[in-house]
Amino acid sequence: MFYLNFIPDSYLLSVINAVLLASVIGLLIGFLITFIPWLRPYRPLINIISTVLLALSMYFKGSYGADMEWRARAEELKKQIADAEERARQVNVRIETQVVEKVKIIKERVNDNKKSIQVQKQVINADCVIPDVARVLYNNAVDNEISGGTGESDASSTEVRTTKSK
Amino acid sequence: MRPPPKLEQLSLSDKELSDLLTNANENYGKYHELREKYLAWQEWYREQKEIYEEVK
Repeated sequence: MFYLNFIPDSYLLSVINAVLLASVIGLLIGFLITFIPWLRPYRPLINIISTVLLALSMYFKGSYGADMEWRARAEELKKQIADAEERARQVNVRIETQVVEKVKIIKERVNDNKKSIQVQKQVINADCVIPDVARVLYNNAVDNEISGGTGESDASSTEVRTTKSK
Repeated sequence: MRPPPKLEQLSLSDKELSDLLTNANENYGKYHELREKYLAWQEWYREQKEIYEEVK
């Protein structure tokens, strides 16, 4: 019943109810005419018109009711989707903010540690030199990447591994 | 979406313990950043899935 969408709802309902009422009145009149002899010739016509109008008004009333139900359901779904989109947007903002904050804290701690290492450098390095084999083994542990793909190229190490990485 | 940063290796000139500590500090920092991002992805996916399931 797409054409119902082009007519204002309240107007449409009024017209349907008016036709329904008119058909009921017409049927009553058709019944009462039995007792008025000079109007009896018009009885079949009045009954036919009233019956047709009753059938049409009941049909349109049913269509209107069904259409209104669908519209209400569509509105409810639209609202649910809009609510879900808003909640999803809020989740995005909250998580992004949290990650940015946490990464900032981590970077601050790394910098603080770096400064502490520089300050304590002489104490840390007193009588301690890293042998080459230790450096190579440490780099083996750092370079345990399995998957390739795009990323920063690492040209710093060109040494042959002393042990195979697992 | 950018790929995660690679860990830094010790260069040939890094022979002191402080160099090792500096390198480890940087690498652990990268790990912790990546960990937080990983956990955030998981949380994001979980919450968005929940929202989707409610509307479906």
